[in-house]
Amino acid sequence: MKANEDQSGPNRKTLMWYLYLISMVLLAFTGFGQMPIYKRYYISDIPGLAWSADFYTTHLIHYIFSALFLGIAAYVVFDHLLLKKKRFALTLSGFIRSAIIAGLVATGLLLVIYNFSGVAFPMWAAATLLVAHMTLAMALIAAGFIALIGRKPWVRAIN
Amino acid sequence: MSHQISRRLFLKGGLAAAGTLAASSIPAAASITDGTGHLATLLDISKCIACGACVEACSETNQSKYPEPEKPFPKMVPSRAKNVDWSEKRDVDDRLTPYNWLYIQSTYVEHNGEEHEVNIPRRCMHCTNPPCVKLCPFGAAEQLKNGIALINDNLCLGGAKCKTVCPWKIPERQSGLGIYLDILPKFAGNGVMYKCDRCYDRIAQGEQPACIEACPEDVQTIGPRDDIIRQAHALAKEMNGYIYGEKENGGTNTIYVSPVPFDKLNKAIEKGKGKPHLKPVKDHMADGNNLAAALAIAPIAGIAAAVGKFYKMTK
Ligand code: SF4
Ligand code: SF4
Ligand code: SF4
Repeated sequence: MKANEDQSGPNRKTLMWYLYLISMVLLAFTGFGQMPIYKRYYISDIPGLAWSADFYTTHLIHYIFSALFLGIAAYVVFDHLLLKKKRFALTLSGFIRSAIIAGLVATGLLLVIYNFSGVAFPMWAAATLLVAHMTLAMALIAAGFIALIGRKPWVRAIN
Repeated sequence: MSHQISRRLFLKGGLAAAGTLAASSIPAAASITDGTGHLATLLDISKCIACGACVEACSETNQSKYPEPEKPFPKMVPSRAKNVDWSEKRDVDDRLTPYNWLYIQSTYVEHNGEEHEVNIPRRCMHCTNPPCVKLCPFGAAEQLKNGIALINDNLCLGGAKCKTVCPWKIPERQSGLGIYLDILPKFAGNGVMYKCDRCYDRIAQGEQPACIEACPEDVQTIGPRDDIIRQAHALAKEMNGYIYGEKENGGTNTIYVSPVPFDKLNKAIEKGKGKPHLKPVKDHMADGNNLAAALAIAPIAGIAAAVGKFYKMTK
């Protein structure tokens, strides 16, 4: 192994991993907060969480952490393709989570476009995108927990 | 009569294209409407005599769209969520309700040493980029290609987010009907939201909205947004008046022209539940849409970082 070769296995808890976790938690929280539930269920009564009932605020935070998440995702994908592809391969769990994330990114970007002035989607399209985005988010949370409990890594070393 | 016919013809000829697209067919894909595809209404409020013919016409025409709730209502959990019932108060016409999508806001104001009686027909503004539609978490609201903002009573759960995000708090809830009854009636949703749908079904058939047709004073005019804006400015110039709705919330398809400034009117009118204000309104969707640029830049930065690392390691 060359001295300057990247030693960090992609399964290590790197800075990227923590940023990924933070953005996931905030995306999930602000994403579910697009439904009118935090006020009804007293979440916004919790000290420090009053903002969670403000849809425009949660919408902005969702965008900010989407940007952070897209940055991380682009970095990880390119880092893998450029440096790690020969040594690591995606596991089944990693493949499933990557596919779910790809779906979330695609539906999310379409919803960003939908929000622009002058863009009108037929109702079935908007409803389908929203339900798909929400279902994929729940699938990712489930896959994340299964991976955590079953200790399933994203990638495995290629011998 | 000839006036009626000419208005009809105008609608049929000039607007049919935009109008029929509205509801007759479900468009196959997303559409970009640069605002020019939108229909707007001009309301010359110096003409309104508060006769209420428009309010009555709206109610008669849209009767079949009004809610018929099932009772008793499900008990809400937690109790903070309250049932809202207007079904026993269908006649209320001095505010917006699920059974009254249009009302006349009347007031007296002094301006330039003159006392003005001002009557303002109030209903949904049909924003050019409607937050009620764009932010509905279930996609239960739709903006038609002609700009009409529409809530679908078959999909709406009645969570009232549309009302919360509406700068004028227009949509009104009726509990006891809608798909929430088939899901978790106690725990999620609370009915269906109602508001002016600008008689989208009549427009699709080349007819005018009922309130416009019924008005004896020709207070309202409907037409392509660009034309309406032009007419509004001409009218405002003529009466030395003021415009509301052109820029509010980034632009709406309801343009009021008044001989009295709107800040004076806003102070004078009765405001509150079901009684919208006339304040200046910033573009509510703008902050999010401006941030969208970050969504484009972030992945480029991520790729640049990965490539930078690659070069460093392979040097
Ligand atoms: S005025 Fe309110 S209800 Fe009407 S289109 Fe605008 S946001 Fe929606
Ligand atoms: S456009 Fe139609 S629904 Fe809207 S206020 Fe007029 S009559 Fe009522
Ligand atoms: S029908 Fe015309 S004049 Fe009468 S209240 Fe309505 S807008 Fe005013």
